[in-house]
Amino acid sequence: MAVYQRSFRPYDGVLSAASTRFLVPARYALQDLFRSKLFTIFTTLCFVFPLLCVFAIYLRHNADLLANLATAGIEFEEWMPIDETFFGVFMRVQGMLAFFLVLFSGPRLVSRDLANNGLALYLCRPFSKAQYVLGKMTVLLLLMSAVTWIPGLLLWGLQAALEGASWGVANLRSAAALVIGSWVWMIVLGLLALAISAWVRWRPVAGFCLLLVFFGGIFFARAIELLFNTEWGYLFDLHHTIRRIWTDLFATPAPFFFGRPLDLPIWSSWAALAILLGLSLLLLSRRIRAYQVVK
Amino acid sequence: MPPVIQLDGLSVRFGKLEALSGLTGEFSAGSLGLLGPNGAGKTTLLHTLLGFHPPSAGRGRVFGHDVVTDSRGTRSLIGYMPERDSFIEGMSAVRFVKMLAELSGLPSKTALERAHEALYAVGLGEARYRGLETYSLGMKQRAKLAQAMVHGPKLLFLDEPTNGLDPPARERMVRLIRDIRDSGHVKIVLSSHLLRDVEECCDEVLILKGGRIAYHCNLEQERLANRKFLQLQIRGDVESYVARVAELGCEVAVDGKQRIRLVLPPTLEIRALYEAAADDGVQIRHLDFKRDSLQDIFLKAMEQG
Repeated sequence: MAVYQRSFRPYDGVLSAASTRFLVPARYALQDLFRSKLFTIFTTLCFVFPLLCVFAIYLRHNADLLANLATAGIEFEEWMPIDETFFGVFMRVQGMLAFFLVLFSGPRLVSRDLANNGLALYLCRPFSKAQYVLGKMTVLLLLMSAVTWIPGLLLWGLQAALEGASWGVANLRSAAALVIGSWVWMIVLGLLALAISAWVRWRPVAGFCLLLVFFGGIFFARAIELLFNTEWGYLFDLHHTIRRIWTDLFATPAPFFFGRPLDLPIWSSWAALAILLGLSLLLLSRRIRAYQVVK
Repeated sequence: MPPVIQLDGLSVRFGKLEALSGLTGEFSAGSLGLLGPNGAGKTTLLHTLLGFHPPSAGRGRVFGHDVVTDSRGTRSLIGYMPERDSFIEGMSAVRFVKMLAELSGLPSKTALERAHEALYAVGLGEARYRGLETYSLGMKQRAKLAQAMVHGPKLLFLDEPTNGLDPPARERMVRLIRDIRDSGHVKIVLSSHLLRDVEECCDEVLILKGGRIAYHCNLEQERLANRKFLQLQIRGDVESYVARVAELGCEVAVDGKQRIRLVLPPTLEIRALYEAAADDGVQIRHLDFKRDSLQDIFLKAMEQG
């Protein structure tokens, strides 16, 4: 029978596994994101720095070039050592790019479902709130993974392959720091972006709020420091908090803020992130529901 | 075969407000109409059966699946058309319906095929590649119906499906619902505050008022029963005629000076009333079936409930 002649038909065929259905909204959201040329261009640009790093590692192992540079008085090995500082810088640059990727993509993921009461259509099916959030998080995690720990590990692997197994063993901490540091950042950013876009339906405002959380904290922290003469306000600064955790993971010197390193214990940074995560989850659980409460 | 919906003292509270209060009953009709004024609890009942609200007391079952302990199983049997505008912006209708079919568990290829079918079935075949935000209200309503039926559920929840539609669009929606009902593959629960919609589409009616069941009836049986209710306008000796028809086995009540109401026994034909009138020299000036319309039933329920 032709399609246009068919009416209501029951379905008795096979069903997909319930545990994999969170991938359905993730797939559709990724397709939608890459329809935007601007987003596609930006995502492509996110790979420029990792390529420069590949180039640097290549130069570092090009004996002819190193010899030429040495005769010209440039000690490339000293100028750019491939060590924990190198990967720490990589983490900072790519972490920031990951933030901008989330800034572009995060607010539209949930807000467009909420804007027209679309959530009821998801949740009236055998599909839970947790699966919904997981589906949306998957989009952000995939995007951020592609620019953070995956290229980071590839770089680390390339360097280990060229330098030798002993370098790999000596720098195992850098590889672990890349993975752990990236995942911490991805989870925090992802949940924060989803929570904000669940509460602020208007996309530009949601994006602005995300910017405010990331960049506005420093002003708040500085104000607290000037008023109360304490550094604890920097825990409200997400930028400081994550950098402090990264430097600890990579075992590099603590970051400088206003010309000096901060004296806050590392546990306080982890605690600040944990509280932020809990808050994001709470906001999400209150907002992701099939119906709107009209007060 | 378990009943379509089974309620056992089902109550739902929102803070101090008791939205549903001790609903009890079994409903197995092909199409059940949920009637009631705004705020009666119609949508809350549908939401509770979908697992959106936890009951504060009692339990509800859909095809034997508990709506709390087996919420996922319940929802896999239901297609839901919400009352409010519900769509995902930036999506074409076919992509929207396909995605929701996949969320119900259909494989991607089957979902696409059925999305096309569903959109044709609701009359959106030609507009299926258009963005949903460009649709008129009537088209959005039909897109909502398409997503509710795309995965072939056993039970359809239609919440105010004719809301905001102009008369031709309403007529079209009602016809669609009747077609789906008549296919015989799916049970329907239609929530509406429009009596005509329920009268045209449903076999059974559940009237809610203030979160309680005010009335529950089978419309078809009600219609059959009402065929035996008559209202007569007569001229002549009313008392003697009343006595005469009572002897014939009718239940009679005098309703005004020259007007009587009676219930015919199943074996008696109307012809006998005319013969009795002729014997008594009474004129029957007017005879009408005193059928309780759904409006009468609704108004009575509102007064009593």
